[in-house]
Amino acid sequence: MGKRAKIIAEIERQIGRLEDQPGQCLYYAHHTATILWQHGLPAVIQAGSLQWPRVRRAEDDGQIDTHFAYMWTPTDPESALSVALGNLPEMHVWVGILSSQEIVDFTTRHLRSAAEARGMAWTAADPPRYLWSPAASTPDWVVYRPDRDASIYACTLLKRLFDPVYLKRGWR
Amino acid sequence: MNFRYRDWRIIARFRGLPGLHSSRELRQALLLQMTPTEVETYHRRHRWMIAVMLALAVAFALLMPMSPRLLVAWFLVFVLYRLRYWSIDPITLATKEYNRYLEAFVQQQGETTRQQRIDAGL
Repeated sequence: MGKRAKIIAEIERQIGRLEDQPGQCLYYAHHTATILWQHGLPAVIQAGSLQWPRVRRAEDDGQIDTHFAYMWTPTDPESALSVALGNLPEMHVWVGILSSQEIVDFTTRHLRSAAEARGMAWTAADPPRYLWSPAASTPDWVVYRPDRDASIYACTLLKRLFDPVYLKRGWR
Repeated sequence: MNFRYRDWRIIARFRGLPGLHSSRELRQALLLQMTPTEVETYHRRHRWMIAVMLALAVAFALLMPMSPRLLVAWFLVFVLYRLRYWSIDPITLATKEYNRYLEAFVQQQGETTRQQRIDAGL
């Protein structure tokens, strides 16, 4: 088993203990970053917006919503309400590996069910169980857009919740 | 607020990147925060810069073979490369952004203080 396969298996084991539902990206990212660091891969938490195509390109008539998205919109009333209720604002959290300039996201398996739960039909190909790809060449039409404020927000929460090794300077 | 240089740790915190160990890691993390187009532009400009500097280094080597002045010329080429690199360096760009942010913040603070003094009749 290669190193990457070993890491993936370990992350799968960890996130298998979480609830199998959307809306857990902060925890998925936490476990992913922790395991990457344990394997000597320096990783950073990235947070911001994610847009994933829910229809095929051929179906784009210029009118329909082509993507299912978690958009970082902190001033949006819905996001403010979500924060007031003790949840995250609308945003997405994933992990970036510094040395290889790759992004890792294990929440992609939930995108389709999350979209369908909101009444959005999904006619595009199913998203993979996880995404581990170079940041500069994500799959066609897939957009990960990190944001400074979102990243600070996610890191502050993770620091408070877990005080994780990957947020400590001088750890290695 | 005229300090152009900032410690990389300050920039790392500003960009929401705690846990890094060096400016090299910060540069990699900042590249991860860029869009694919920005990353491509960065790499393209960097490759060009290296190509031009290598061409200059080779030209000097041909013009002054085995001369002690060649070392000086190569050193100057390296200095020129570093100066040019600053224009595309993700840390330099993030530092500029931080300085703009700080300047706006200080101005806003000053304005708030001024308004408070006016309101208090001072």
